[in-house]
Amino acid sequence: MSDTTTHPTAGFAAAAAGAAEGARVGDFLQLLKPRVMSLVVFSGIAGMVAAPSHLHPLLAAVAVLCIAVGAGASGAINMWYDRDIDAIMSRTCRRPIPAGRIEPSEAAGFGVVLAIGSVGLMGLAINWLAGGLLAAAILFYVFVYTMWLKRRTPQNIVIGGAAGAFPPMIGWAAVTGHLALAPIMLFLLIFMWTPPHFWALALFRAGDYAKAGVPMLPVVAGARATKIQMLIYTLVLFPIALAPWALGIAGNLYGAAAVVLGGFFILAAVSVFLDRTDRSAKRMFAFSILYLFLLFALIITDRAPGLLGSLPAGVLW
Amino acid sequence: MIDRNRRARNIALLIALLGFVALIYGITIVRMSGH
Repeated sequence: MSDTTTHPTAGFAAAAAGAAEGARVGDFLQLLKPRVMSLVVFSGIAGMVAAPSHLHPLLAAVAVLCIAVGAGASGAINMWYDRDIDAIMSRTCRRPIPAGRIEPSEAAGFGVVLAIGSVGLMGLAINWLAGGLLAAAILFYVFVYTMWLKRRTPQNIVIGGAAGAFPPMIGWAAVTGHLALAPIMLFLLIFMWTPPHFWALALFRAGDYAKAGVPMLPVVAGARATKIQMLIYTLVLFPIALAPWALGIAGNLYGAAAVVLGGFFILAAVSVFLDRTDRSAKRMFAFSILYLFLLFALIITDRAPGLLGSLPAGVLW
Repeated sequence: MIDRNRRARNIALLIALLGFVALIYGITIVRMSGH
């Protein structure tokens, strides 16, 4: 391992000396937070597929591309703004900026250009409701979550989580040109899922966040209070996850899976509550990703026949 | 190594730009066909 990855301050010095000249294409891709992007894209596709209409395949691909690039742009701008705390935390100190592989200004420019480009293309090629929602998600993530809430309140990821919940609404709006109850319920599903997902991570990374001065709930209120909150959120999430089935945008298989997966999510929260070690929190964090992935995969597979024209229109306002 | 990285970045940028132009052509054709 090189010095620049073990000593972040050395990384900053290297960046100042023009280290970006040696930046690899992969470093720029890393700025886009590809793992976060994949879940965002997946939930965006679910919103598109669940909508009671369809887009030309090329336009659908453009909409997905815009959602992906918009999410990536948010990630790049977030990495630019958070480069000081990223350098302190062991989870993030090897990111391209703190490691000195990309200059901060270059990352910021990259993010802003992609943000404007994705919103502009979405608006011009698809429709301006989808473009506006994409812009709102990016602006919310950058200004409300990253710049305002993240360093100020333990409710940072509760309110900030709204940004990550936008994609199903964007996907739906791209296809239909309007919003309805169903995509709003998909928004709520991700919104209520985010706190237990993120706090599971924060529980076993609490030392990192404390070192960087980020007031995550386990740092400010302690592990026990966090675990109680996580349990409450998983209980509230349970009926919300059933809404797509109740509204008719997902079938019985989804409904059954939402009950089983929701039950396991609650059990995971109980297990975290009873466990004095980090083991259950790590397991719950991994399961939370699988939970959301499977629910959206089932919405997509339930609706796939509809894309071929063999399914009646969904339940709408 | 730096030259190699720079060349790779330039090629990636070129591919992205060509892809973008092709995409705009595609969108225009699809939109003009009434979709």
